Amino acid sequence: MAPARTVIFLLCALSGLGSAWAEDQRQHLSDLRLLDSEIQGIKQSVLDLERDMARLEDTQLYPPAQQLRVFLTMEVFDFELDDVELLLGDTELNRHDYSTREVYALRKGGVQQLFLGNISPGVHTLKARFRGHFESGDSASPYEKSIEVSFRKDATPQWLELRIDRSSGQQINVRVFQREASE
Amino acid sequence: MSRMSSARKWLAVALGASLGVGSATAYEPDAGSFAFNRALFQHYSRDHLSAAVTALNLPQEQRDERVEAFIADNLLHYGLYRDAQRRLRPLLSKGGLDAQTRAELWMNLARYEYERGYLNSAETTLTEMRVDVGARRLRTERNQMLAQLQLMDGRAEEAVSTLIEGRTYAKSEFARYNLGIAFIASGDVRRGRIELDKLGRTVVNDPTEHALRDRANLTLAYNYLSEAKGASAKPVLKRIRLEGPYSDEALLGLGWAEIAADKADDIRLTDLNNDDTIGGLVGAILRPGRVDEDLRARLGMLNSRSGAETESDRFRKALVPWLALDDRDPKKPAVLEVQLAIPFALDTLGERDRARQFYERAIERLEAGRSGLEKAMDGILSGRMIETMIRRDRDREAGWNWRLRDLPDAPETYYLAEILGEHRFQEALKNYRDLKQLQRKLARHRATLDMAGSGAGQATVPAPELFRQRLAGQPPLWQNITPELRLETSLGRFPRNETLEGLLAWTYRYAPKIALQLEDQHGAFVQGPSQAALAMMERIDVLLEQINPLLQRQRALLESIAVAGMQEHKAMLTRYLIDARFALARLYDEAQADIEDDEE
Repeated sequence: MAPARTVIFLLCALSGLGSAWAEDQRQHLSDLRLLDSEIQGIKQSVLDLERDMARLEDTQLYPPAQQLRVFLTMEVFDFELDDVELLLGDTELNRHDYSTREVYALRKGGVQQLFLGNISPGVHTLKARFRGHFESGDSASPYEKSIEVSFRKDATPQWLELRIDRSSGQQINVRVFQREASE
Repeated sequence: MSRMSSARKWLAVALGASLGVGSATAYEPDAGSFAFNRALFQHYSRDHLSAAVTALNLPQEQRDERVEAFIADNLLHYGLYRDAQRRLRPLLSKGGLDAQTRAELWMNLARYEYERGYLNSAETTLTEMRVDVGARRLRTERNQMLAQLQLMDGRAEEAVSTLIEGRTYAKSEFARYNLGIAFIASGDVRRGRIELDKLGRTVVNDPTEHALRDRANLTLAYNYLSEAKGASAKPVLKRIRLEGPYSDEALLGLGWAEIAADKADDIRLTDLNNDDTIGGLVGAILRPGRVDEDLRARLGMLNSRSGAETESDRFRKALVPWLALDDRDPKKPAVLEVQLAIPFALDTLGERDRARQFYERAIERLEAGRSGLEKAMDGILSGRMIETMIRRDRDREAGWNWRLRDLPDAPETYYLAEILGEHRFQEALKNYRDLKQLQRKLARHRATLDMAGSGAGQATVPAPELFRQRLAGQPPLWQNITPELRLETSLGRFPRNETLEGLLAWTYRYAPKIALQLEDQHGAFVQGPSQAALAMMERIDVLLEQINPLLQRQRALLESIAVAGMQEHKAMLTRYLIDARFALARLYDEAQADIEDDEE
């Protein structure tokens, strides 16, 4: 094989641009678009279903007389939340481990729904335990905070917001607010 | 080579300098809307479907343009492109949003269209965005993407204009690289080479810039080599890092450049003796001490020579980078090619025994490579690889916003390195992941509804309280009339002189069949939970049935993309094997002929 011819042969191989390659690419892109279009149809149906499901949750699955929602917000920007444990009396409602992205979402002012479920009318005790660490401090030493709050479940939906804010220095405080379902 | 095929070739090179992932639009919390802030948490957690649903269920009075943009943006991130586009376009054309937000939304839409292969739409979006170009960062990205689309469509001159507009090429190294490619594709090779050469000599600060610098040098050198102008390619190849991502191709090219070193381009861009200030470059391989001294001595490379180089001298020099490449990972294409290039050079130099040994070894390596490739293809078709790639954050509704981060530690991963970086594979993978996630989500809803239907999960609430709740919010059927009703029934005791509410409550409890009949007539007023839940279950079942075949087709597409790339690799190996066997047979024939000549 002559050197120049070999060079060209090798260059063509390197460029990876045979006609079969181009044809495959075109076919794959066309299939991708076709399937994407069909999947969008499914996603649209799921979107509609999700909207109806949210209404069904509010009216029937978790009717106002039984509904309890617990939310979490955070106003401390250097606290890295690791997990939260939520109990009603001695019954565990939820335990949530936080990803970096979720902590970021809380810091950006997002409201996280920690629990949605049904409870009986009457007086209840909600307990919550928060674990994490301060970014600026020794990350090896964990920080833990527990709270306990009593409330009366009446005929209206019960929405409780747990708000983490700073009490002083590297200490957090958790305050509980009653929220209206219409907010 | 036709203009189109030439453009396509350069396009593929340009695509390598892919666009970075832009940042998402930032949204601020709304002090007045607890519900919007719930959507905000879902948005920043990358649960885009939930974020859109929460925002869509906000009361109409809270749905201002900012919320509408939020909804459309989340729908787009979830992959509901048509719906998002339908909502976004009027919002963007009305101009109620600030310029920066509009520019970000335009850009997000264009990115989606570009990555999912809706190329005409992407170009339309970018053209419409012109009036809305906000930040400088987005203007540069817009022009780069538009230029790539123009290059893909064979409109290289337009791509050049786009990249020159507003000196885009001076604001981004990627843009300068693409300008070089666009010039070459448009036929202005000299200016293309000048741009690539500038980029190939820039001072770099981080690994990405260094990789782009190496790539510019490699592209420029191979452009020279395509015209067999080795003397011009050599100094350019020497600027590439010895341990960088393009070093294999650089070493391979350097060998060919040595062989073609008797020819240079008429226009000299670079000083042939340019010593770079960066260490660890391919050029260092040519210095004494970097390769086997015995071999160098045997090939006569240590002797100082004067005068013009002969063809043999050039082949000897070519062996230096090639032998350095020979020890590297044999799965890499450049290393495979050098398995043939080395014996080819040795044969030319008259070293037939050594050439034979190298050809024999090449055949072994190529056969092993082909067998490894076949196993890797089986691995892909088993589905294991795809499932591993999507296992992280499996329940996040990230949609289009999801990024592939987990590569399986399997042989097939290596062969797929390039394909995994391509939009067609990544976007198909995202859709596959979305379908899987939807399947799980719907199954969870189904379980919730089943549980509710069985009474589990319901707290104990006195029935009268429940009825009072259910009826409290309903409008009266007949204004200001309290009908007296008497019911002849054998269903049970019914209180006399009952109100309509009481009648309905009673029938609901003791005579559900009658309640159902009333439900048909009066809709929401008497709609029972079981019927609404049943309707929801039916919708879920229908959707689950539709998802299954789509999942299979999507997976088949992913496998097809992956396997097509490997088939190409396999075809290349087969081609090399044929070449190697043919060359070896010829060498044996010649050796046999020599023996016969000697005997005669």
